[in-house]
Amino acid sequence: MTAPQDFSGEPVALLDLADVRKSYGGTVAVDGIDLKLRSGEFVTLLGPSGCGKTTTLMMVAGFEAPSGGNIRFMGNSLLNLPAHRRGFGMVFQSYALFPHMTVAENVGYPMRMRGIRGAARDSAVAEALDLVRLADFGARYPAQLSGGQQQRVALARALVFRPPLLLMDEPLGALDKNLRDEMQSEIVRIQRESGAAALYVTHDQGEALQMSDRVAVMRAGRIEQIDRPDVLYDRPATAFVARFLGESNLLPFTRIAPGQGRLASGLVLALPADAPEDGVLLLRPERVRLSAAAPNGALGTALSVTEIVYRGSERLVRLKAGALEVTALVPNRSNERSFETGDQVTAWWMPEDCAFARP
Amino acid sequence: MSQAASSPQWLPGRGRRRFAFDRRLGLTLPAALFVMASFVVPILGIVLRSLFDPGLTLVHYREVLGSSTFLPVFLNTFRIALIVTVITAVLGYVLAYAMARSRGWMATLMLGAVVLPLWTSDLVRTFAWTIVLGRRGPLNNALIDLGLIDRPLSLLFNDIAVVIGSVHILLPLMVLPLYSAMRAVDHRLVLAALSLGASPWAAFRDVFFPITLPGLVAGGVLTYVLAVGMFVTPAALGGPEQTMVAMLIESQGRRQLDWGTATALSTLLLIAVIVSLLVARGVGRGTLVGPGELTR
Repeated sequence: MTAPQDFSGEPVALLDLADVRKSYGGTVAVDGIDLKLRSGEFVTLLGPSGCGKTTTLMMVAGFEAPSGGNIRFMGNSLLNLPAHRRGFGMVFQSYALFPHMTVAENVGYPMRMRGIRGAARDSAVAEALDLVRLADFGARYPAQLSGGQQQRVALARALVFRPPLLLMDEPLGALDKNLRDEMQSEIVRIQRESGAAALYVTHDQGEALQMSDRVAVMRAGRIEQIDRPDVLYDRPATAFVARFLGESNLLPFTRIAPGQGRLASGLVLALPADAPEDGVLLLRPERVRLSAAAPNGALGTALSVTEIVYRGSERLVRLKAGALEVTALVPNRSNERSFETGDQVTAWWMPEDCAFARP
Repeated sequence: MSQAASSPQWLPGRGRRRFAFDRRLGLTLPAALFVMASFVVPILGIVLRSLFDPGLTLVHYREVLGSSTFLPVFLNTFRIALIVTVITAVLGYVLAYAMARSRGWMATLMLGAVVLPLWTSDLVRTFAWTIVLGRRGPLNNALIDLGLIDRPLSLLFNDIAVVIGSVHILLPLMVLPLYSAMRAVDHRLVLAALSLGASPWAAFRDVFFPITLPGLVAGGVLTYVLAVGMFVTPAALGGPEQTMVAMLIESQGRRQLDWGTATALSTLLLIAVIVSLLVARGVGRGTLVGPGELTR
């Protein structure tokens, strides 16, 4: 099947949000969102609570009407289409399984609503339960299942009618940590096997990085940056994105000469040749290396160790020189010498380890 | 288990367990005595009174069952109670739904409007209806002024008056359990049904209604039982045709001082209510609450 194309010959996005806005009274929840989802793609809306990510999802699902902008599905506007005619699968944080129906009845419900009955419905239900590895649980009631099993049933129910798009609102939020890790890979596997595109909402950066093809980091009703997880992590556009995705050393600077910048603390630091006029220098702690002296071609500065936090597979080393504070993450390898608190060391990094973000 | 059996004697709890039963009984005893004294003893008294005159006899039952008034009055009582329950259920469900969906001051206002009549006497509310429904009452006047009717309608001393009055008095008792059942429904269940392709009507029929059904049953039982025992309302708003069992009991006991017949009537009413509730439960189990039926 060839994707529909617009007049310029560009393939039309599966889902296309154009300047979507939502306000409640005077409060702006979503402040102009542009987002294109390709067929089969897994895109995550990531942000702190109140950033508008769930509201955006609810507008795609049809439970909220946008105050402005447009949402198109395969080129057609969804604005006048009620939720039950959109045909997207939806998974809620609370699972939202029907308590008075068995697992098989829950999963069969969308088929029933589509007038599919008898053997055709039964085989679709069996296939969906197979996909989530709950083939033998059809006769149980939701209350008889664990949280993880309930979430699998919710996934089966949302996928049984083969929707082109799966919407998920913090589906792992109610699970404990071990189960969450397991369900992350399960959801991705199930989504890949079903072939549905996914729009996923979470506030957990680990989930977003591990599961998504692309992540949209949201802040105050807008998308701050949208890109592949590795690009977001290594080259965040703003200090907010850098801070939201993992630990980071963020050093605001002003360039005073080519290859030299003055930090807010007054310290002058060597910068890569491609550094902008001013901005924030981002160094991920695992890119900061510690030794007696920096090798050729590296950038760095001398610091003293103020604290060492043992974390098993690595140690977190906090360093300081005047007002400059840097954190390094050092892997626990047998052949590397360890440092003590109070040691003077050189913290260094390669020019390609530096990223520049807007404040 | 085996650990408890072999646990050494110096650990606390082992010696005390012997008294645990007595202590629990001691705590329930006052409540149990209160319930016995205020509910079980009077009912037993009624039943015994109907059977002894002064020796064991069925003469009162023979008299009641043999009289020509008994059967029509009983049938009438259950007919009116059933009509009242059905109308109250329909009105109550709509009202409770509107209340459950509203927020803020509107929700408070509606809840207040439902609860407030409970604080007014049945007698006052019933007599208010005799004025509203009277030949020259505001309802007839309004209908005549609107040109809908030429002559006043007879709205009093018939089925309509008794049903209207009873529904009005019993409505809060239907609305409150329904309202609490509806407020407890996770609204995301309805959203989930919509997302799965259910029209708003189908989502209501398949999800919201079955989940709130226990509230409807609770309100229905409450309404029905109270409607069967109604006295003031049918006496004031009904005519001779609307005589209900409670009125018959009152006339036997208080006016004719025939306590044997009055207690026999009471016992038969109690049995009839229990039987009708058991029948309703059996019917309900077979058709309404069976989960398998919902996905047919």
